Formats: sequence, C-alpha cells, structure tokens
Amino acid sequence: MNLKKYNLFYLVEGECDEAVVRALKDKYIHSGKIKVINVATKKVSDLIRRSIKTSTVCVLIFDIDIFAAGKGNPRIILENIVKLEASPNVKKVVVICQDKNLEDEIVRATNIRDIKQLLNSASVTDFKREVISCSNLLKKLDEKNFDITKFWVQSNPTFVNKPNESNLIKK
Amino acid sequence: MIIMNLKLNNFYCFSDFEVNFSYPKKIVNTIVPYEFLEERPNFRFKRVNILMGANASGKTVMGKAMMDIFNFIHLKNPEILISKIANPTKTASFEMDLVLRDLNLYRISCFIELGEVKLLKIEKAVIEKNDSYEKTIEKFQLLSLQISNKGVNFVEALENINKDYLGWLFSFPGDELSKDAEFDTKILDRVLRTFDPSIEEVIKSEEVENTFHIVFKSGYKLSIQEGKVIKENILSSGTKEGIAIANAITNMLKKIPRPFYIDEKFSHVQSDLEISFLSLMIEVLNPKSQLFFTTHNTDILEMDLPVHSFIFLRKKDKVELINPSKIFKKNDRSLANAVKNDVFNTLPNTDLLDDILEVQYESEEI
Repeated sequence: MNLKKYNLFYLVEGECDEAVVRALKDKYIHSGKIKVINVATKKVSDLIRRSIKTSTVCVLIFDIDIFAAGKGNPRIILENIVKLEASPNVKKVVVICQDKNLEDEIVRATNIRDIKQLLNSASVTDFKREVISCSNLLKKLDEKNFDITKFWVQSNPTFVNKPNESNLIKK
Repeated sequence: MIIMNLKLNNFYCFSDFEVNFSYPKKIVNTIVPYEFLEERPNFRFKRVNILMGANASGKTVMGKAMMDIFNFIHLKNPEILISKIANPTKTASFEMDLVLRDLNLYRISCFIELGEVKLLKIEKAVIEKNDSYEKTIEKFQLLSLQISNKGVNFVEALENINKDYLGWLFSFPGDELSKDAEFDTKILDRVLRTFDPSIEEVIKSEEVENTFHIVFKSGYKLSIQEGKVIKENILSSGTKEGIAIANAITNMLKKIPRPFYIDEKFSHVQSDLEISFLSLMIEVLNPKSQLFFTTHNTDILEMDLPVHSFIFLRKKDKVELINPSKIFKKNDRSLANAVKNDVFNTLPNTDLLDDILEVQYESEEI
C-alpha cells in the first residue's frame, strides 16, 4: 500500500501521543492530520466522520494499559473500527495498541531505562507536561538513539481482530 | 419551518427558476440524520444544502430572495419584493412551498405587475402519516385567493400563515451583526480560540450588557460589544468571521426549527476548518431545520455527505440549477472530480484574463 496516494488521519489517545506523533511525522512516519480522541473510551462521532477526506487511512493509537485499569472498552474500539471502515472515504483502518503505554514504547525504542530520562523530568507527571510543550522532541528522541523499528511493534491484543500494521505508516 | 420548493421569475437574476428540496428515496445509514419529518417518515427533505458555483452565479441572491419572501410574509409589505424585480415592465412571481410547525404544507404564490401585487394565493395541504412531499402537493386546498382590485388588502391573505411559526437566520458576507445578536460565551470562546490560538479565553462582561472580552495570551484585551469588535484590526479576517459563525452556532443550538442561510462566511477560513465547522453545524442543527451553506471550497465535495446535499448554480443569461444527484444515480464519490473536470459547466471562464496579456503586448508594440 503506497501511502503517498492517501490522506492519513491519526486518532490518538491523548496530548502526549499527539506530541510524539507530531514529532515523528517529520522523519519516521508518514504525515497526516492528528485528532486527540481516545477510541477505547469514546465513540467516533458523525461530526468527525463527515470531515474525513476521500482516500483516507485512519490510524487509531491507544494504550493497552487502560484496559487493565478498567477504563477502556473493547466494544467501543470494535464499534469505532466498524464505523470508520463503513465510511466511504476511509480506505483502511490501522490499529496500533501501545504496549503498555506511550512511555513504555519510547523506552523500548530508545537507550533510556526510564521515561523521565528523555527530557530529564523530575517525575512521570512532569514528563507528561513537558513532552506536550517540548519544541525539539524529535531531537531529544534522536539523542537517545530512537529506533523506529522498535517502536509500535508489539502485537495487538486478540479482541481488536486486527494485526498491528504500524509498518504501513512508517517511512 | 422547512422550504420544500421555490419558484422565482423576474426577481433578481432569476427567470423561470425552480429549486426543490425533497429527495426521492430513503437513504440507508446516511450521515445526515433526520432528512425527513420525524412524525412523517416518508416526507423527505434536504436538511443540508451546499450551494456551489462561480462568482455571481446566484448563490447569494437565492438567499436574499428567500429572505425577502419571508419578510414579505412576516411584515406584509409588498415593497420588499417590488424593489427586487429585475424588469419592472414584466410580471414577476414567486411560489414557495413551506412546512410549518403545525405539520402542514403551505404554498404561497404571488404575482406582481407594474409595481402592484396582482394575485396572492395561499394553499394548504395536511401531511398525513405516510405522505411524501410529492403526494402531499396533490392535496392542496385553497385557503385564500386575493386578486387585485382597488383597495384590496393583502394582509388578510397572509394572516393564514401563523407568525409564530416563522423564523430564520440569514448571514451574508459583509453583513454586520445586529445589536441584539446573541452569543453563548462558551461557543464564542471555543470558536474564536479555534481560529486564533493566541486567544487565551473569551469572557462575558459582568458590567456591560451584551459585551464580551477576548483575552489574548499576551494579556491584551479586546471587546465585542453588541456584535461589533472594538479595535477590530487586531483580529485576523478569519477570526472576525468567527464571530458571525459563533452567533449562527449559538442560534442553531437553540433548537428552534428554522432555515439557516450561511453565505460564504468562511471565505477567509482555512479549508479544514470550514469542513469541521460545516460538520459541526450539521450535528447541532434542529431535526426540522435546514442549512443552506454557500461556498467556493471544493474540498467540501470530498466530505462524506449524500450527493443530494450538493446544488450547483451557474449563470449565463439567467441562473440555472444543477442537481448532481440527478446525474449521479448512486452516491458516487467522484463528485469532486466531476466538478474539477467541469462536468456541470460550473467552472468560471477565465479567457478574459488572457486578454489582459494581449493588451499588455499591444501597448508594448506601440
């Protein structure tokens, strides 16, 4: 699938995920529009569906740990996938479950052992605040030997009924 | 209040013009909900009407003609119409089919000759449980017919239309908002912050009525008083348009059934933003309201909307209407391509611009 022909639409769980996707799309992943919506807890509304352009690949990104915390709902994710796939403007839905969350994914793909080391944050809470406002996040990731081949590579849980096809959106 | 059909002759640039807002078949899993009367599911009407066409193709005047007819019905003043006749030596006429809140279909027909209303006819048809628009128009019954004689008072005929059932919002480019334009602070805040990320918040004045303060992240404050911005040069053109858009959305959220005519209010707005606002308007629109939305933005053709939502206008000697749903039998997704390839002959002719170069060459030769 040659993504150059398609519009990409990232639906990401939170603002930290948005910041990381925004940074990565300069170098490691195909560029696209980003919308913050937790597809594991919230239904994709018609308001969003109507504004999806023709020939769009939707990329749903969410953390797997929200299910352990009892916040995520597999039924909502499945409904969202079905709904998006039914939209005539959507060519494909790519689902990426972050194992267990964004912070773990970053640690796995870099040479840091703790997410706080990425931005020298005092705490994980501080990291979350700082990553949103970081103006050179891509540089910070590269300084820690970020390896895109190690990012978003864990298998999706079975209830999603879709393999992790993150390779499609990687450059 | 739902407009089902409109005929115009000799008003503005319209001659033998007709536009219909019903559609023939129920659409399964449509992304525009309630395109039918909830209590009369076979009575289908287009809730979302996106009007496109080149400049001066009739998009704005179609709205103005609708507004004039509503004002004529409401104010019972024929001058509103007479002043809009294209050729005063010929007969001008309109016919409008309207569904009002009493769930009846009304037809108002009017003929004007030599500056005088010659005929005014009001018909009514009850919409039964299984009736479609096409079936209902076969049952029109005369409520009132007034033919001009000296001293005829047309007010009486228009009394058949309950004033309480009338309501509309027209927003044209360059129009100033009225002094009593209503805003919901939260909506104004969200809309303006979407347009301009340097805005921190919009707050309602506690001291002055109908006044809002735009607070910028820099600490600078700007006021909107009675719909007008004080020191408006601080705001971008798009953000200024946002104020009228916030007013329209505030009114849509009131859920009063009425038509909204939003005419090129997004000409200074980024394309994706226009698409998102249009989608929001569709979402918040009352089930018995209609949205008329004029635009030049061809990206809107790529939105996931039924083909029947799009209407194209073109003008040569008179305004012509093209319904793409009559050409595209299925919900064809190549509508954007069709427009870009001028299938509907709606693209503007730019040949005259080539002449400018010739004029330049000629002057160089001299």
